[in-house]
Amino acid sequence: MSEDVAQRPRRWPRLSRGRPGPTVGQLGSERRLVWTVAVYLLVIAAILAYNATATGSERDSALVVNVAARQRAVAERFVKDVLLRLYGYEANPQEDAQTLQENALALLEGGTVQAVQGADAEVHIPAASSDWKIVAKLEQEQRLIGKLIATGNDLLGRDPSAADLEEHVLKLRIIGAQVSTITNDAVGEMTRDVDARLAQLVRVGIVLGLLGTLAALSMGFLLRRASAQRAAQFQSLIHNASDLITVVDRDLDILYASPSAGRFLGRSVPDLTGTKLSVLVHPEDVPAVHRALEGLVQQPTSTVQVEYRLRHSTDSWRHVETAATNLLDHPLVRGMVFNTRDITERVLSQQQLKALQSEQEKLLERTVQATEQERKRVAAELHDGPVQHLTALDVTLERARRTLDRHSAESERETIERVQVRLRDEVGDLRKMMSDLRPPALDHLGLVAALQEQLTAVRRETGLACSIDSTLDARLLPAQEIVLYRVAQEALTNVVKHAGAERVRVSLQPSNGHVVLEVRDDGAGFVPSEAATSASNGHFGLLGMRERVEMAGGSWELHSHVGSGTVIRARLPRAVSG
Amino acid sequence: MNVTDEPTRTSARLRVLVVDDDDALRDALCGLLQDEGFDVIGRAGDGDTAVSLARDGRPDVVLVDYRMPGMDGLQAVGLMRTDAPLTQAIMLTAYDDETLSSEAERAEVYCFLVKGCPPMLIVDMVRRAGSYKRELERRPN
Repeated sequence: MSEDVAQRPRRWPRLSRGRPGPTVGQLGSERRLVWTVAVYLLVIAAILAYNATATGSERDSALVVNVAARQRAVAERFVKDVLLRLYGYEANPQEDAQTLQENALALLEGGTVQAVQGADAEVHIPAASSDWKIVAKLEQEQRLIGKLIATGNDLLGRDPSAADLEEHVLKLRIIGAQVSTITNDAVGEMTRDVDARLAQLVRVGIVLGLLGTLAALSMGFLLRRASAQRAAQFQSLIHNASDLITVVDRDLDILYASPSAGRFLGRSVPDLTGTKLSVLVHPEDVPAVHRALEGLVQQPTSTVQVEYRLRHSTDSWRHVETAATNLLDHPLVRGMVFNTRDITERVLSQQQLKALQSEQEKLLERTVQATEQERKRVAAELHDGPVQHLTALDVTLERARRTLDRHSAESERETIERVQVRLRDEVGDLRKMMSDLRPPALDHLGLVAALQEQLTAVRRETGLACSIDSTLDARLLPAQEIVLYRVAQEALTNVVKHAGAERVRVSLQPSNGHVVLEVRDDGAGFVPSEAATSASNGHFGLLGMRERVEMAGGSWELHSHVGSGTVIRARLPRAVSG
Repeated sequence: MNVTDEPTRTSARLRVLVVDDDDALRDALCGLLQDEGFDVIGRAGDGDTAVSLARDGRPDVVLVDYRMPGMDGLQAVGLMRTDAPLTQAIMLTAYDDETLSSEAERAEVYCFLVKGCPPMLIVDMVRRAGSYKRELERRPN
């Protein structure tokens, strides 16, 4: 066997299709695993949600900073446009003023502003910040913008050639510079604020990542532990189970044997591994095992059951019953899994029971035969003794009578004749007794002929219409023929004595490995429950019939209703006479 | 020819072999038959002796019991017929048994009598059987 195959058994226990139930410890472990998975999923969800929120927030922050930064440029443009307009050039400082005011308001309270860049014409920005320092700077910027716009409007109302114009222009420029400065300050504050939030985002991200990693590690650990517990539990089952688990390949080489298999056969597991199964199976059982497995190999995943004997290391034999499952196509098994059970005690008990039954049958047969032999002996004695002797006396008397006839001794002749008549009656009675004790046809010609004989006698004596129907094609055992004959004899006696029937039908038929005798009459019938207790009424024979049949291993039935006749049925397991 | 009424008037007396395992009955039957004018050529208590006596004595009629030690009456009759096919047999048995009666009929026994019947019936049947046998002998082959 290759090294690869030799190592396989370590994996077998995990491959069984059978699933052992969880233990209490395993239940606790599985609960922890569920909690860990839940926490892991929550952490992952929190990370995703936080990332989405943080990304949105950063985008808003970037927009706000852009808008704030643009205020400086718009303020400078306003100053420039006021001066251009003052000196008669085309410019629109009012538009700049409006932009400055809208942006300043939006930065403080949130709102829609003109897009700085990108495809959007307008964008919505939130309030720039809740930080009081930034809010204070933005409010100051808003006031300066108001002052800048007022100064610009004032300048535009003056004469460009006036002597003090330069002074007002300077004032405008100074306020513009102040707006720029305060805007720069605000943007700086905002940038620091965004940096701080980014740093916080990174920290939170790291913490969530760590949490996720921790949960994943816990989950992995718990999964591994649950898996190990299941494997250990299954190993324990295999090791301690009374059933023997073996796996064999197509060539019937044992790939794996459980420790219980080793213990059962008195061999070590390494000894069993690689052994051919057929070496262990009783030679008489090998064909049956091969037949079962040949069928099994053709049908993947199917299971067969087979009984056979296995050799113990002491060379004794153990009876086993195996349920073999074809997992040859299973990528991890590649074998037939044998689940084998020790049935030695059961088989031995069955054998003992069978021996007892056989002994009982023999005893019954001996008893029945002894009874019949006794009847036969009495019949023979009647035949050889009284019947012969009385007949001889009759013949002798006949001779005497004939002699007297010739000499005309009338009174003596009549006496002899009377004696002869009585003698013949006696002989007749004795012959009937002989026939009742042992009908000669039963021995010579079998049950059907003897029953026909019996029915002929009944018809002759009573005028009852009798018929027999039989498809029995072979003789039964003598003991069985006697039992059925006596049952029929008793039943017919009852019909004649009690039924008041016009017709009786006897049937003797084979049926599913049994032979069934039925005696059916069309007489008065009776209530069986009453008959069972009325032994004095001639029904005592019913109990006798039943006992005879049951002692012969058969069953007996009686069906009767008042006014609808009676059926008696005796059923014996069929054993044909050799 | 009326052999029943006038037995002694046959050309020769009818030869009878009596076979029964009961000595008293066998003797009584022989005595009766002799009284009635038959030539009892032998008496046997079992089938083997009967076959042997029949081979030597060539009886016209064998009056034979059915149940005997060794072979039964029908078997004995069968063996006798191999030597003398025209010999007639009368079965006299204690068994009033239809099956046995049918068997005897198949074996071409002249008649089947049950012990306890009037003895003169036996005598009459022996006489008829003998006459039948003589008649068969007279017939051209």
